[in-house]
Parts: sequence; structure tokens; C-alpha cells
Amino acid sequence: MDDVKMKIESLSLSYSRGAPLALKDVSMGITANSVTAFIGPSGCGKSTFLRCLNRMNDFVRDVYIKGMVMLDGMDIYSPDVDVTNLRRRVGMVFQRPNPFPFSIRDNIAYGPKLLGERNRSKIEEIVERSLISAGLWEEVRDRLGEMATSLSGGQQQRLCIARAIAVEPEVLLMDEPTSALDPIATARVEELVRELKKDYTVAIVTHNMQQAARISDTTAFFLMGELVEYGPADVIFTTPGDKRTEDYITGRFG
Amino acid sequence: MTERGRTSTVNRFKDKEMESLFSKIFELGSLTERALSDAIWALSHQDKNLARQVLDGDDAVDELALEINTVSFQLIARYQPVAFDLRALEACIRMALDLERITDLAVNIARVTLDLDVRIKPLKNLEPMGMRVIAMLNTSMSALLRRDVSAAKEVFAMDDAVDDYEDGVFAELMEIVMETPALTNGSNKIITVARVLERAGDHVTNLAEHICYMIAGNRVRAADFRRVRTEDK
Repeated sequence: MDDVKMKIESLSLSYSRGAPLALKDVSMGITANSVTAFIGPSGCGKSTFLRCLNRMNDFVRDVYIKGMVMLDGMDIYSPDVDVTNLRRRVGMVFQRPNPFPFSIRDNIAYGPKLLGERNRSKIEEIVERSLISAGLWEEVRDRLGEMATSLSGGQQQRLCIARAIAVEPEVLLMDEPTSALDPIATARVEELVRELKKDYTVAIVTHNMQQAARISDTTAFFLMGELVEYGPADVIFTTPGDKRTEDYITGRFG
Repeated sequence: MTERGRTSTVNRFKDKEMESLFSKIFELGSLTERALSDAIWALSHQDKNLARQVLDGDDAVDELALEINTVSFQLIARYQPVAFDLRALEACIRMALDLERITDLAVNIARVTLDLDVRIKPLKNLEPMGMRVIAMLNTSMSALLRRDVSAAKEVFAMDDAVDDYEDGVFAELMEIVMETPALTNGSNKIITVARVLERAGDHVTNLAEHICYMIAGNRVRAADFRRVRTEDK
């Protein structure tokens, strides 16, 4: 039950030479088949940390990363790691839904096709299964040929989740996946996240403290690049160990 | 939370509302103390008027306890409190219940005073027993005011003395009944008073437990701070 899917050891990051550290010596484990939420004020390093988990920060020029991130014991920053394969295993869903300007079907099929899947019926099967997992199938089954951009915001975000899981990742990273959604769409995505943890390991950045309290098994609190505290959400939200966590979650910051 | 270094307006409102909730708890605490001390005074001085006042005061206490519950629920619904705030609201709801129960027990004592048709000589142990419970109540309220866990824990050990006084009351009444069997009926009524005070002491102990959890976040059991009684060994 408590298998550690990803293990982070002494991770530090700076966005350019001489700049202050955006992450300071962060170490933690991310448990398999559970939801881990990262919370903290803007600029605390939680998104930076999330993006380190599938090397999204590689795109940043002059970025300096020290420490280790391990996926099932494999150091993902090791030079012989195939980054494309890594990102297939560790998928990502972003803050704003970003469907490709294709049909609903092609949005889902894109990843599997890129990975070499050519069998049409196999692709149809992946499209259906992914949309079912993302809780979108019933709403779109009769309009798979329509443009993905014709969907509502909440539907688009679930489409992006379906697209992420179409390539069968092991870990799903979500960067504020509901911040652009209304409360009903948010509730559907939250429900989905809790469903998804049966098959995937989920790590989520959220600005919404109540959301972290509702959906996470483990909650990690970041402040100024430092991981202040992490532990079971039940404990963090009733009896946090660190005064800074207490102050932040009760809104008494500063 | 808007910006770092500044507490947002919403939270200042929440803090004010929490403060006003706490002042209601203190008000309830002082009404409870008043009811208990009046009930004890009325019994030992056979003051039936004062006993009647204790009965009359019960409605106000019930109303205030209910108001504390209502306000606590409103704060939970509106602010989704966590951590200290959440523990504080749980504590307020539970403390209101315990304080209201203590007042009910004071009413029981007042009823005994009104029912008592014989004169029983003042007991050495009964009034001190009541005073001890009141001292526990005051200690727990000041622990709440000062957010002082060690003060709250003092309450647990104070309850030992209440048990001793209860034993003392039983022994004194036994003697009275042996000497004057006609006082058996009246003595039985006084025994219920001792029982009631003992239960009031337990409710004050509960208060102290709630206060400890609210402040420190870990559950403490009063029994761990009590003397080990021979029969429990």
C-alpha cells in the first residue's frame, strides 16, 4: 500500500546562475496510488517542484538543478534517460485546458499514434477507455469528430486528462487543474482525481486549500522554496506540526 | 491570503467572530459558576429563595449554549476552518455542552434544597467538595483564556480531591443515619448531591480535555493525570 513511486532527495533548483534558490534541499517520497497535494503561497516553489518530476524545467535556459528524483528507483536526471519516455510514464495536466485544435477523437489518439500505435480498432479502444476513465465518454460519445475546442472548459480539462492517460502513464502531475473551472466542473475533476488514484499515482499543485483537504492523501506545504512539512492530509489540516503551516492554512500569514 | 506579509480582511473578520464566540464561552462559564455556587450556598444555608433563582436561571444558560452551537456551525459553514480554528470550534461546541450539563446538575442540587423537609446539620465535606469543583471550573476557564495547557492539566489532579470529599460525605451521612434513623430519607437526598457534584467534576475534567486538544492538538486523557486508585490497580 505504501509503495514509494517517486523519491526526491535533496533537490535544489535555481532558475539562473546566482539567483536565489527556487527549491532548497527538498526531500520527500510520493506514495503510489495516492494523491499528493502541494500547497503554499505564490512563489513558494510548489509548481517548480512538480515540474521537476518529469523534467519540464529542462526547457528553462540556465536552470541549475541539484539532487535526485527517482522513479521506481531510477534517477530521472541521469544522462541516459530518454526524456520522451519519461514524460510518457509521468504525464502532466496544466492549469488551463489546452486541447489541440483537432477533433475530440484525435486529441486522445495523438499520443498513442506518436508512440507508434497504428491499429485503428486499437486506437478506437484507447479513445473510448480514456474518455470513460476521465468521466467524459457519456457526454461526447456521439460527437467524437467534433472539434475539441467546442467543449466547455470543464469538459476540455477532462479531455486533457483523458489525453494524458491515453498513453498509460504511471504518474499524473496536475498543475492547478481546476483554477480555470467553475465549482461544478471543479467538483467533477476532483471526483475524477480520486477515481484515478486507483490506477495512477497523482501529484497535484493547488492554490485551493480546501481542494487539497478534500482530495489529497498526503499534503506537502512549501514556503520560499522550502518543504516545511508533509504528512497525511488528515493530520496537516487538523493538527499541523509546524507553526508556519498552521499560520498559512488558517490564513494568518504574516 | 492575498499578499505575503498582510492578513486579509476576511481573516480579520473571522478572528473577530472567533473572539466573540470565545467571550460567549466565558459568559457561559461564569453563569455556570454562579449557578453552582448559588446551589451549594442555598443547600448549606437552607435558602429556598436562592435555590429557586438557580432554577430560574437555567433557561438563559440553555439559550446561550444553543447560541454557541449555532454560531460555531455558522463559522464552520462560512470559513471551512482548519487546524487551530477547527479545533477551537470543536472545543467551543463541546465546552458549551459540558457547561450546560454542569448547570443542569446545579439545578438538581437546588431541587434537593427545595425538597428537603428536615434539618440536617452542615456536613464538613459537602461545601468544600462544591468549592473544589468551582475551583476546577475557574482553573479551566483561566487556562482557556491564557491558552495554557499545563494549567488545564492541573484540573485533572484536582478531581482526586473531589473524590475524597465524596467519600467523606458518605461517611458523615452514614454516621448521621446510624445516630438518627429518622434522617435516612433526608440523608439519601444529600447523597445525590454528592453524586451530582462528582459528576460536575467529571464535566469540568472534560472541559480541560477539550482545552488541551484545542491548544496543543493532541488528545490527553484525564485518567493519565489522576492518582491510581487501589481498586483500579
